Amino acid sequence: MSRKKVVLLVLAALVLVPLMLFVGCTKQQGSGGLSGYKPKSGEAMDVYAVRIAKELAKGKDITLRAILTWDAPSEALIKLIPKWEAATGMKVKYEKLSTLEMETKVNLELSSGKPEYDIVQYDKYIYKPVLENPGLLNLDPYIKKYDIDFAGMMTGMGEWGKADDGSNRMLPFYWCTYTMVYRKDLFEDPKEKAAFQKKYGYELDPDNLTFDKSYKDAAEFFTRDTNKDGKTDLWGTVELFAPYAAGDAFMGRYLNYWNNDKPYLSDAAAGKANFNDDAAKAALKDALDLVKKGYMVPEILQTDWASILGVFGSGRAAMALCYTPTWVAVQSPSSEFKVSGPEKVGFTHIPGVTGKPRSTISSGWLSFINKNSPIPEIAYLFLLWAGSPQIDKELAMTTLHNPVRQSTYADPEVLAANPTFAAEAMHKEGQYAVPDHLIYAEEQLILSNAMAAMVSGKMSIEAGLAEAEKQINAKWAEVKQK
Amino acid sequence: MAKKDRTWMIYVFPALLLVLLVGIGPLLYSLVVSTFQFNLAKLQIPFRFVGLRNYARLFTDPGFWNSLGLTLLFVAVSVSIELVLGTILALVLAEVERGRSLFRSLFLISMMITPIAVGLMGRFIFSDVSGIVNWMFRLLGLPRIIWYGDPRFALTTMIILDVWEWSSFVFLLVLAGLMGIPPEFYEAAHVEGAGFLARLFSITLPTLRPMYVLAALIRVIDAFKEFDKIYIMTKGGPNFATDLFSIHNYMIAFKEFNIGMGSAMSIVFLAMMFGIGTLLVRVLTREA
Repeated sequence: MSRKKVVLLVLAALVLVPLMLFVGCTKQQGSGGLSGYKPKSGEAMDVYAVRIAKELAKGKDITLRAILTWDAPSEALIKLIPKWEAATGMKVKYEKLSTLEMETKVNLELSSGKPEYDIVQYDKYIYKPVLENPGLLNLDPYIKKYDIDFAGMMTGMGEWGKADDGSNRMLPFYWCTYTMVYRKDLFEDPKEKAAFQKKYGYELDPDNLTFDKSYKDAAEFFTRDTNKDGKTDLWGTVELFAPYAAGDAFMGRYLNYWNNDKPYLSDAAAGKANFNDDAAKAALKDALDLVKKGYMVPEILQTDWASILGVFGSGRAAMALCYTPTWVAVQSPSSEFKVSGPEKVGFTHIPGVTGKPRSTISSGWLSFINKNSPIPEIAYLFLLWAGSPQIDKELAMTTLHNPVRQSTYADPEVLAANPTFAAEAMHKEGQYAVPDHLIYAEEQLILSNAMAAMVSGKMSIEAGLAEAEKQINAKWAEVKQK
Repeated sequence: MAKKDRTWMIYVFPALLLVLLVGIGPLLYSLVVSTFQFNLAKLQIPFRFVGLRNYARLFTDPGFWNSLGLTLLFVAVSVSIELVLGTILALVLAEVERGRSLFRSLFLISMMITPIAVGLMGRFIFSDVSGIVNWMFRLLGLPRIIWYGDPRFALTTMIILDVWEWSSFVFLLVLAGLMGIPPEFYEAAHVEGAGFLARLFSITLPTLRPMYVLAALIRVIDAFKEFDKIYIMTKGGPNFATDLFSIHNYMIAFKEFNIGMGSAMSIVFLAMMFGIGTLLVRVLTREA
């Protein structure tokens, strides 16, 4: 090549490359580049999300299709959906499904490759297999583009939606912890307190009960025959022992006995059960003691997340342990429940174990976007809007929703409307999310059944734990095979 | 003649195609899937051909044998009671002249309720706190029973509920059969001096035998498939006490999404149903 030609080529490159870069950048901005979507100074996240969604939807007939849980949190969201629709001009079409229906539908539709929705809310306790499904949209580009502020969310929530490859596939929608509810009219009655002090030699304090001592004493103390017909009609406590639900009762107790020295329940990396230890034996021994001594309601093996509220609300138990949203129904006076309202009901952290840090389980719901959604960006903006501090507070004010933002839990107006939230904010350092491994749902059922076998006397604690460990390891072997 | 045969085939073809598409096709698909390791939800589990391994695992799984044993017990006890109770109801109502249609309709109500609703009603009826059954027990001075929350009583509760729901079906068949027995049979027996029991065992029951085989065939197949009530009430618990075959199969296929194992279990179930059905139909045909 002649020298003249080389010089001409270099000159052409010097002119063309910057020109191409300029055109490329202009094009990117024109089609929705970063600079066009920065929040305006002082613009709130909800306003920002609505503004951009409205811009994107301009001149188009957009309908967002969503699958929502049929639980209370979606009721809260449904109340606010018209607000989104009015602000953006788009429609939101949704269907509500129970956890089990959702699990079946979502898995079948994802496997078909042609799901008919843009957004799905999914329960954390069964979410891991779905989280790893390639049918879920990788949200990282959108999170980079429109920051959702994970740092402002409750303990560990920013990690919940991360798949094994480190990408974000789900966004938190709802958060809750496993807490205790108690009969304030009993626990705070001076006569009862004095009688307890006299009998056990220490003060009755619902905020500082221990599974290994004072919780058992309180359960014994309040188990009584109130109408003097010779039969017990008030039991000290009630916990979750029905299939699946018992897994929560086990974990709530186990985390307090656990030494925080290894993964809880299962070691997902090694693919083996990790709970057959002294902590589990002690946790179960204390629980079974209460059952055997008759301090828990007799129908304990059928007590699940829904029925535990009935047991407590009807005045049959002095204490109860379950996820906080269950207690929302008794936080205000209700004609439906004999025991309800701030005069009669108190909320606190679950008991601990003498000499160990207090711990509890956290769980919740997350949302994901279908990879084949024709409007992924708008779907993301809807989730950004729903998870914004402003809408998080509005959702919480319906008293149907447990917010995800720390600022919402610190808001006096929200706390006044939701007395249960104060219990959730206790001992934050000891909040452990329900395990996010592939076989957690199976693990829960196996543990539940082992616990039922122990309660009914068919197995000892040691045999029950060994059997559960064996079954869970078999499930792991299946998942971990090459 | 050959042309006539071909015409016949053309008429049969649409129906045959339909059966192949909606019956045989999925069955063959299921059979093929049962030889694969296939999990719909856990994509980490590799999809691959495993031959008969799913069947081998099934037959060495204590859960499978527990569910099979429970199902056989459930079917044997519930269908037997339904046959006896349905017969008693029919015999009593056959004697009633006035209001027979009204009673017949009343007896059929339980059968017409959707099984999911029966399960939900069961939760209330057998609630150990507010259920009507324990309320009656209390009136009679009997101890309170935790019906479906105690492994010792959970299966019994399901049997009681099934008997409550389906005895009327047997009753309906037996009543229809009773109406069809010529009165001359009884008149002749009466002349011979036969009492109630002699008439029952020498005329009524032998004459109704085809009805019983039909009732047993339908009820056995139906009871083997029992799912809705149990799923609503116990989900197979407590401690697998009500983990019937269909519940166990559902949990494997649609809770764990282990489609390979779930299909293998369905094939085993189908084979059992086929065997029982063939046996009962043979008995029925012999009677006919």
